[in-house]
Amino acid sequence: MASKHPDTVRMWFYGQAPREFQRLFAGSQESDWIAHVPESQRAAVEASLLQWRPIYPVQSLELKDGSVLYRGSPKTALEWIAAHGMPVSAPVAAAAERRSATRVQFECASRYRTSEHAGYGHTIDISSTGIAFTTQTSLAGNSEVTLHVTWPVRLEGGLPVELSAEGKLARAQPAMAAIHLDRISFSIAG
Amino acid sequence: MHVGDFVKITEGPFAGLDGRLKESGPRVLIALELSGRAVDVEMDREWVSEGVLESLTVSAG
Repeated sequence: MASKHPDTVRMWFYGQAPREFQRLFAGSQESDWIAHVPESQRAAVEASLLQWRPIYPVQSLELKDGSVLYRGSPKTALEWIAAHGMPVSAPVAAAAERRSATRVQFECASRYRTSEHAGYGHTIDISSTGIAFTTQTSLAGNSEVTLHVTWPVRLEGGLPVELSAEGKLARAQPAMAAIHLDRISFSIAG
Repeated sequence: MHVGDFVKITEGPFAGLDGRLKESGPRVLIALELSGRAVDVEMDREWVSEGVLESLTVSAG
């Protein structure tokens, strides 16, 4: 695909990527990212893209012109944790239970921020669609929450990883809350 | 957010990295340093924030 800057690396969420690139990664989720790396930049960029493989799948596909497409699936990291963790077994009345994804115990250091509050604590459980965490104060209903979680898996070389999640408050109690995840991303902590 | 500003990437595989804004618009062009080399990366405007300035302000406070 022609570009105004031929040596530029270009990135999109899957749904915004050019159709010809989407077709090469059929079955992707909207939250997946796609990166197109010109051959001239591959040496500088590839390690920074493939480094996420301990956390979530990253696939690559070399094109005829020598450029490379990469597809990362950050949300799969949550599914991996949910698949291998200890399921949360506390019974909940069916009428009150609106969560459909399997939740597993998941305790990692966390910090949160809303428009009114910020605080520290730890996560309680996680599913592919939400995270419950402890809070220092009661959070108001319908709050938009940004949650940062120290991820339990590190990159090669021991680099610590942080999950940044954004979502609307799904439930809140005096010392805990849960969000429904709208957006997630991983970054190197620090 | 203006051309020349330092910005923080918040989405995608380069989330957490800081770079300099080279072109603005719905798609932005960010100059990054990766593996010791300068690399221009284009992405949606929503993938970046003025977080560098924000974190400097918090640190100074």
